[in-house]
Amino acid sequence: MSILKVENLKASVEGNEILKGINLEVKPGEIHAIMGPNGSGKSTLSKVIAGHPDYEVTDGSIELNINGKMQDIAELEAYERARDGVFLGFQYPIEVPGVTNIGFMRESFNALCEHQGADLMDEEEFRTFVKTKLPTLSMSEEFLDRAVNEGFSGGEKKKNEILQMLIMNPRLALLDETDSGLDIDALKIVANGVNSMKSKFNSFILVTHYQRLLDYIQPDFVHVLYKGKIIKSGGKELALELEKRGYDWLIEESK
Amino acid sequence: MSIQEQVKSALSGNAFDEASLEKFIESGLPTKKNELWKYTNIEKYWPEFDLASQAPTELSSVDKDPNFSHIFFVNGQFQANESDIAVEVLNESNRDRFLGAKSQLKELLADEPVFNLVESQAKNQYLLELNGVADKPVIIHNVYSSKVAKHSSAHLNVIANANSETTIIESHTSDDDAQSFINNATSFYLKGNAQATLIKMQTLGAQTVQVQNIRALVSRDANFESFTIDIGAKLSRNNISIRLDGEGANCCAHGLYTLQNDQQSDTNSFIHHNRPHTESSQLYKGIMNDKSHGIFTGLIRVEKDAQLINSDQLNKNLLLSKGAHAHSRPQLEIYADDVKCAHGSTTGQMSDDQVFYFEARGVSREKAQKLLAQAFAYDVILKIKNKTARIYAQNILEQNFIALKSE
Ligand SMILES: Nc1ncnc2c1ncn2[C@@H]1O[C@H](COP(=O)(O)OP(=O)(O)OP(=O)(O)O)[C@@H](O)[C@H]1O
Ligand SMILES: [Mg+2]
Repeated sequence: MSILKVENLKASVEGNEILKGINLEVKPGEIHAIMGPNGSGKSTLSKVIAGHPDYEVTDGSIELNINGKMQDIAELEAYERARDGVFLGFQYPIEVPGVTNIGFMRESFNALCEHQGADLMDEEEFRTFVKTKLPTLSMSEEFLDRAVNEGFSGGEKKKNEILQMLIMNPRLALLDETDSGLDIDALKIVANGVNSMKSKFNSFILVTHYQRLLDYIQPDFVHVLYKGKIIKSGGKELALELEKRGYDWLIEESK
Repeated sequence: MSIQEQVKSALSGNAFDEASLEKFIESGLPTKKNELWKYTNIEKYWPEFDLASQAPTELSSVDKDPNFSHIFFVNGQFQANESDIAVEVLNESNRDRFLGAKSQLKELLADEPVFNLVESQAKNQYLLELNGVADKPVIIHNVYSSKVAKHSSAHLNVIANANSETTIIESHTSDDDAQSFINNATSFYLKGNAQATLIKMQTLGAQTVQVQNIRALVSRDANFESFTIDIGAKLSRNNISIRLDGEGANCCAHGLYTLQNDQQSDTNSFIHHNRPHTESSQLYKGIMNDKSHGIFTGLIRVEKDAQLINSDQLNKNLLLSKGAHAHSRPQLEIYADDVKCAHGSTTGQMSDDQVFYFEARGVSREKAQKLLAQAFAYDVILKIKNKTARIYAQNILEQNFIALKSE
């Protein structure tokens, strides 16, 4: 059984069709990379799967494995999808002044606990739990007490996304350009975070522009998105070829 | 009878301050023609003026948190039995101790008709003296119980003696169906190096109207901080007038209004830098839902000889629905040249991106909006220096936090 099954997905924003018939199936334990030129619809695809309210699904379906059953989630709110195991790592993480990072993470963690009927964690328990995740990401405790992403450097924001992912332990993680703007050390740390969570029960969709991320996280599939459609799918060797040859030959080929 | 005639026949001959009564009879209640009352029609809420109706009822329950000293007022009248601290009735014999000492205080809000009305009434004029460093904050519980529309008025005059340090919370509560028209005043005279904080915590019932007049004369090296936190009431109006009257005198005047349905809150503040080396700081935040309306007018005046002034003022409004609105009027009158003044105002909606960020992490939209609005409001509460008082204000805010609806 798969974790995610997207069929003939069409979606638009403010009347403009951005996704024009996407098919994608992700099985447990798989890592899929999505590449493609700027503006091809990569972020849109991740947001539509995560349930961003600005995007309208006009055709097709998005099915998610919820408790062993494939269910259409296109009508679910974003927070319901998150509780059912979908995590979206933002290309541009949002700053939230006035809300501490640890408070933010505890809200989301407890929202998940409540959904699963588990006991909620109080502040102290949660801090202890979060602290166990910090070394993996080389983050200091100080980040927990600052306002969410406020004044964080680009790299710190991305690490913070991965920290949230580790805490929520999703079944499907959509990471939108989590590697962009990272130096090589930060990239290794982020990859380390992903690899530490990877198991045969969960899956990742990595949106990236750079093959170098894939040196540290081995993808099972690479897809190329162009103008709202997947124009090519292959194994990790496809990423290497794209690195050498760019996208033009593929775009030509798809015409 | 017109409002002036009602007041005249009730108070003439036994007014607390005859000059104030004359002024009120001359002016009547402020109308929209008065620039400072442009957005608020107070006359609409005026019940027949009837002093006999101001009788206090029994306090139903007295819950005394041991972390505070407690003072109780019911419908404007002091309740000596339940109170931990003695409040004196202000009369001929002790009046000069307060008013006579500094006739300048008389100039504050002197042209404000509703304040003149407070000064006209002989009933419920009180005096409280603060000495030394208070070990715990004081809560003044103001309880209003009238089931029919009735007037309630009281004036608490506070002398903060030299080097004293006190935090006072003025809590104002009434039942949901209480229809009082409350017109109160709290006046401070801070002597040299005194520190006083006044936190008005207003959670009145939805049928109540409240006007609060706050005046402070701040002497050399003294510091006055006022917080007006308006959560309840149909209409709340704050008239705040602070004069920095000695070198090194500082003040803060902060406020928060969280409104829903057709609630209205209107703050008019005046900070007067009358001496050099004085500082003032203001942060007013409004959260408006449904068809509610928040108004802030803030005048800062710096006199010609008052050099080396620091002053900042910021009004930020968060509108949660299309029907809600905010008016913000910062005003500066600066006659000196060595002055640092920063002021501004913003009005905006809740950021959809922030809400979605929470949602993407499993937090419901409603909860996200509530948390974001709380974070917005929390800024003001964080400025309360006394920790016990700050936690108290935070709890009240959380308990009463408007049930936000998404649109
Ligand atoms: N809210 C919106 N309104 C109008 N057009 C939009 C909106 N959001 C996205 N688009 C358009 O949809 C297209 C796809 O955008 P998207 O952000 O998904 O691209 P992307 O593949 O993630 O690009 P990048 O590599 O630059 O991140 C672009 O042409 C963009 O301008
Ligand atoms: Mg993108």
